[in-house]
Amino acid sequence: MFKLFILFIISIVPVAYTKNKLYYFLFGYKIDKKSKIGFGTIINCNSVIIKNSNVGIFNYINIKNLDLDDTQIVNFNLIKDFLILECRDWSLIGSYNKFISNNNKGVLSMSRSQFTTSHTIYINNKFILSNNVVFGGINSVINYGSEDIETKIYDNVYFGSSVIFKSGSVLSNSLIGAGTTINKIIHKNNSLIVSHLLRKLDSLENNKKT
Amino acid sequence: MRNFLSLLISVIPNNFLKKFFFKLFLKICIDKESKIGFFVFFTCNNVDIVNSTIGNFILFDVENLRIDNSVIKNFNIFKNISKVNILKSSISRKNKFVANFLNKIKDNSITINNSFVGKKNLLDISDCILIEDSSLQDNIQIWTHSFDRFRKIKYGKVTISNGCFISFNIIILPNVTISNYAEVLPGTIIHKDILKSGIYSSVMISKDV
Repeated sequence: MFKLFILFIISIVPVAYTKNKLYYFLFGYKIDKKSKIGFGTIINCNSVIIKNSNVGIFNYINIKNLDLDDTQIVNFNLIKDFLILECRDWSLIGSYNKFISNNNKGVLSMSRSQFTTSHTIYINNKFILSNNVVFGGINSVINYGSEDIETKIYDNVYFGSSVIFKSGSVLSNSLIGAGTTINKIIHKNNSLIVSHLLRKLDSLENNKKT
Repeated sequence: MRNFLSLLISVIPNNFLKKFFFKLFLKICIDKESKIGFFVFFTCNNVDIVNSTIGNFILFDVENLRIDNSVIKNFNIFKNISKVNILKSSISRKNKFVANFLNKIKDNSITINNSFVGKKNLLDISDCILIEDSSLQDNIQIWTHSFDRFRKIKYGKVTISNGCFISFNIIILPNVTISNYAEVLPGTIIHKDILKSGIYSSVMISKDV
């Protein structure tokens, strides 16, 4: 509780250089000169290595090991209760995302990948994103149901808006349509996956009878 | 400087003074019958507001804005759009009419004519959107850009016209036209044109054995 109070005080220090030095002297966080931590961002971790990265305003990061390299985390994110967050090579986490774990064992590793805005991601096991994985649009829910299965998403996968994705794996060069619900592992490369196809109902009463 | 002035004028509590200063310093034309709420922020070149009510905390980052006989409620955002026409319409709270400044066509526009737009909708204005004589409910997403398998961006217009009813939690994809009194049920993803009247859905309930 005392640590949180000190972290809150540091988070409202206006000068980035002073903030980085305070983090280093008080908690041993390694934040290089090119990195910036925004106003109101609280980083509550055991070990922190941040290189050439930007963290925006009003983020709350409460995990054990944080390792950012060439990464941007934008504003108002909640990253909470898991083991390791590794982001490398132009990774991007947009605004208003929630990364939550229920069992404190999650590992999120990503490189050259992006989360846009307002997604909810549950991380209870390894969650690995290879190169060029993009969660586009808004309001996707990933790894719902809190299952403890390892999830790996291979190269060049694009998720459309409002996708619901259970844990498992998606092979490379795939495109997931907007609003799709994925319940199982996808075995094919180069695939376009959609789950909702539009149809015309004659009338509501006829449809209920069938 | 213009933006700073707009910010200062937007916090003036008196409606008459606010309209006077908008006209004097920023050449924003707002007629006598219109009402402008607290913290309405304009970064527009041409503004024409006639007989309309605009709520509080609204951002207009638009090149050409025309609002005529309409009501816009609180907490709406209009951003990176070249042309906005709102005529005889009502727009509820917390909607986003947004385009990414990197991924948009030059003359992106939205026209809402004689329609109702509900709460918490996201309208992506990378291309043009036309909503005419229709009703949109809450939590709807309308997208005017998408990506192909090689991650190349594609743009497409969206047209909703002629007495359509778009229900809750619906996603409309680019290059879609909905017209002729179509009714779309909640949770639907509209990926192709709907040109005949009727009830449409894409959601099916099934039981795994």
